[in-house]
Amino acid sequence: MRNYFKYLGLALGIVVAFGLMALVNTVSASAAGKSAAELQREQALANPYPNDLGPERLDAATMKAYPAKFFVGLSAAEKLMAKDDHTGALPADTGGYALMLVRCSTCHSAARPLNSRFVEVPGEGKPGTPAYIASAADAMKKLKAEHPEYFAAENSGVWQIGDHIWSRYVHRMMNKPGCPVNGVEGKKIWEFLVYDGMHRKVGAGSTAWKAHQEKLIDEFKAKYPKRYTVLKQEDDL
Amino acid sequence: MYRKLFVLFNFALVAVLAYAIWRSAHPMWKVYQRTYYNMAADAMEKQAATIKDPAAAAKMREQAEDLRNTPLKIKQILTVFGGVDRCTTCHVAMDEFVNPTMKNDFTQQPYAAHPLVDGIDFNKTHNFQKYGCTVCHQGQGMATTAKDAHGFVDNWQKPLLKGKYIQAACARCHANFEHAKGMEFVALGKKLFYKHGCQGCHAIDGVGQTVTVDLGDIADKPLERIEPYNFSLVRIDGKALPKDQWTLQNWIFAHVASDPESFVVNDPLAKYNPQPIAPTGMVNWTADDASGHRELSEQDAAAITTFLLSLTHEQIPYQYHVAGIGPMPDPDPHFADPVAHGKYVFEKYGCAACHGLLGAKGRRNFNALGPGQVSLDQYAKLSDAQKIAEMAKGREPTLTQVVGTYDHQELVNKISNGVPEAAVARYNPDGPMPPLYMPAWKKRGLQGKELDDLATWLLTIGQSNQSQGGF
Repeated sequence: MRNYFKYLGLALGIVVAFGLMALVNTVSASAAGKSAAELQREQALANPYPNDLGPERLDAATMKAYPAKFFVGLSAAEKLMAKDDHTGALPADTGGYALMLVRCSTCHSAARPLNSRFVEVPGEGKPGTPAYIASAADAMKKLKAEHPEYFAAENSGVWQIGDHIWSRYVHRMMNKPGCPVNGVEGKKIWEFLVYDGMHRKVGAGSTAWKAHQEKLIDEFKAKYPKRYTVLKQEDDL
Repeated sequence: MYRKLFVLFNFALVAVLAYAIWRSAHPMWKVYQRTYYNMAADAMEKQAATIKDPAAAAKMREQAEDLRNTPLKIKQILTVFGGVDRCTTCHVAMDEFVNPTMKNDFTQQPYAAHPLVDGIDFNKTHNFQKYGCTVCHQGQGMATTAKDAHGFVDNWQKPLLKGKYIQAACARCHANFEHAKGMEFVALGKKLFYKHGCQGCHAIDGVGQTVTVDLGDIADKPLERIEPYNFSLVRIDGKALPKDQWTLQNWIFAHVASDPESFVVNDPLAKYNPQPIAPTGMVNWTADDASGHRELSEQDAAAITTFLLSLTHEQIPYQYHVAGIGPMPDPDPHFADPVAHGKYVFEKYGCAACHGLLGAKGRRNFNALGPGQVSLDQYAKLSDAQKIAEMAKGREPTLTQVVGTYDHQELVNKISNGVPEAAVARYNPDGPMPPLYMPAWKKRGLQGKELDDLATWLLTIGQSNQSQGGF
């Protein structure tokens, strides 16, 4: 009788072992079946920044205060987002915010640009022209003189202000293989990010922004202490 | 009946034995040697006919007769490097005891005397009785048949070097080869090696990057380490190589003169291995560069091959080693202009290996993301060959397109920290890991002013962002 139990135990053990193997295979197969964009997103999540912990949408009050052009096509964008489709067609007049939500979240969450410390000081006239570049530089100087706290080293995690910073970043993302953003969409996204930075992060909203960013950094430090140390060492907080 | 058969077999055995003895007594070297003596004697008699002094002419004819009757023998040189070279057994004109002038008018081998190369009389600079032949020409010095001696036989690692490839042997002793007469081809190979960024992936004796194998002893690579299957796929000028040409020289040459991905195919679809393995990450040097020209010609490929064949760990006795810089890069020149210095740093560290000459064309990186790849849904419907072709569209960044999106400090950080292997995004998530990645250059000696000036130069080559979207 004791022998029967022994063999029964052995048989059960084998069944459990095979079951576990099948489970492991299923899990790894589902990981392997992910698309390149999903893996990119996973990679972005594996290398998080404090901004990733912030909200992924603007609040209603802010949206109300911003020009309506940024939000044209938002419902179509949200529908695409719901289907996890980041490359689908959107109406030609879709605004920068709606485009940012859909396209940027191909590789990372929309929280990353929305809660970014980047602020681009815009110039006047046609972007890229000498007059625009000169006026942007002048505006930077003026901002620096009026608000040295934005540029202080101790606030480097709250504000990083440059005269082309969003332009460079949007172009950098556009140059990544597989990025669905074309030049026309990129410009609209850039316009939104520049506007958003100047209206929500500096000026009247700067105190709230500072508190928001510091809270994110504290949360980040608590949640990802190792990553926090790395970013701190690389001066990338 | 059986008795008759027995007798018949015995006769056959005796006949085979007699043939073997005859063949052993009449090897080709004897034919060559006798022919040489006869040719030399004929030439001497012809010369004697032009001499007016009858006594002198008679003496010369007597010498010619002696030459004609010279006993045949195996000749050998015990070289100062410890080798035994019997090459003069057939190449009699190189034996200074037979041909004291070391010159003759014969053009056919193995009868011709050693030619002057670029006006250099090699017997004067490298006395054959002392140095032998194989130290420069390679081959199997002890052998006494042409095929064996030239070394194009199984299990002989170093067959004859021909033409300009011989300069590989020069550079093994002459570390000053870049500045020496007659070694221009191997010097060109070294120049091209560094210009095109090979050191960006391959170190030489630890100097350079370690993305893939160190080439410091590539000339000693045993052929056993090269899969016959891979060799069978090699095509030079569109033709497969006969088996006796499966040499290290051709293996290296094929890597530069054809697309190495065509013969180091590995297993990208995991047909034979549990995990997929990308084909070689080596650049296709036959592809066009950013200006639309083939990046390396066959002549360039031969020069690089010659340089690589000079890289050996064989011990050269110190008294025969000519000091110089050797295979390593030259010491850094001084630059007053940070932009010029940055460009020099780009070449020094082999950045062109991944980003192309002057950063103008990102190289292939199998299964990385790249322009023109179809969606994964479409990919799933493709044939195996088409899937491999899609993965092969993966590219390293073209710097001229992307550096404009960075500022100076961001570039410095990017170069310092690199992009580790695991962080290179895959096009096909089930496909192999892309073979190329960006090392963290701060750990590889690129820092300080070099890094600063490199970033400065890079910012001068970037295209304006305005070209994309007008912002």
